Amino acid sequence: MGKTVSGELAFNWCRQLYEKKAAELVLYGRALGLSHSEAEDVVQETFVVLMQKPRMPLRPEHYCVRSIRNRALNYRRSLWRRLTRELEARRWFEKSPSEGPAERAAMRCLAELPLEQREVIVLKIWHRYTFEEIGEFLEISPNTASGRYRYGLQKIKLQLEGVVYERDELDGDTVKFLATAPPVGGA
Amino acid sequence: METQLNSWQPRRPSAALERRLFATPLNFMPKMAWFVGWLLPATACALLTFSVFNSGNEIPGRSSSREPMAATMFSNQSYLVGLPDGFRKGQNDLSSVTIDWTNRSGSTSSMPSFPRNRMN
Repeated sequence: MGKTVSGELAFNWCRQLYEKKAAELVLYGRALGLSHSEAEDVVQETFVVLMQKPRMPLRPEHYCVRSIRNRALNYRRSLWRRLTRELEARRWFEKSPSEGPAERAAMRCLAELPLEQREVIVLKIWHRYTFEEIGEFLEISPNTASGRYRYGLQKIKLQLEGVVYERDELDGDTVKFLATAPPVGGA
Repeated sequence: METQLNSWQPRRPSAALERRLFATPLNFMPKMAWFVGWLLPATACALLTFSVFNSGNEIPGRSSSREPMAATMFSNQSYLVGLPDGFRKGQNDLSSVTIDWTNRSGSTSSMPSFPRNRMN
């Protein structure tokens, strides 16, 4: 079965969109409580539907975010999925050579924030939504969105400062501190 | 703070996801469809045409009999009925067939057909 001209076009712009936004969309899936593989499944479903569309949505990135949210909230997790979810890597971000323990702790802190807060943070920082757009999207007021964002960010900041403070306190005992730290950044 | 968070690169989805979405079978299909839909039948036709028009050519080391390609292809003799009258007429005419050994008086066998001494 060959592709039509419109199918070819859809394939091309979907691919471009995927290259540009796939990682951020997976991150958003994770912010909604999915594991990495579950988030990948949801992203896959979204793109499969997107490729079948006769024309590109007006705002394809927003379309994907909305689609992922709808699918993620309806995602039924089997027992097997729940088990494998616990076993698979929990890291949300790529490893960076300059990444220190404070940063890893902050990453973990983001993952452990309440869903409402981490969702707003991910939408604001990695999807470049404004508070108005977040409010419209989540059907909350922009002030509520802003409040959730600030609360979440404050916790991450405290976490970062706490780790830094702890490191300063321990001073020469940094190695011991690192060894006893739980797997951070979701790793 | 926001700048620091922004510098965190979200974890890339696995390569398998990209393959599932874009690599197969969509990229492979047009080439395959072109091959199966056009090239393969064209090659088959070209081969058939070549073999039909070269049926008169003799194969080295074989006898010089010029068997028609059609007769070779349609091994069932009934197909030959439809061929022109002059077509290999001699071969299909039983009257022209000479079975030499039936005309000879002697038999090549060392055993006689009937024992001559015990006729009565």
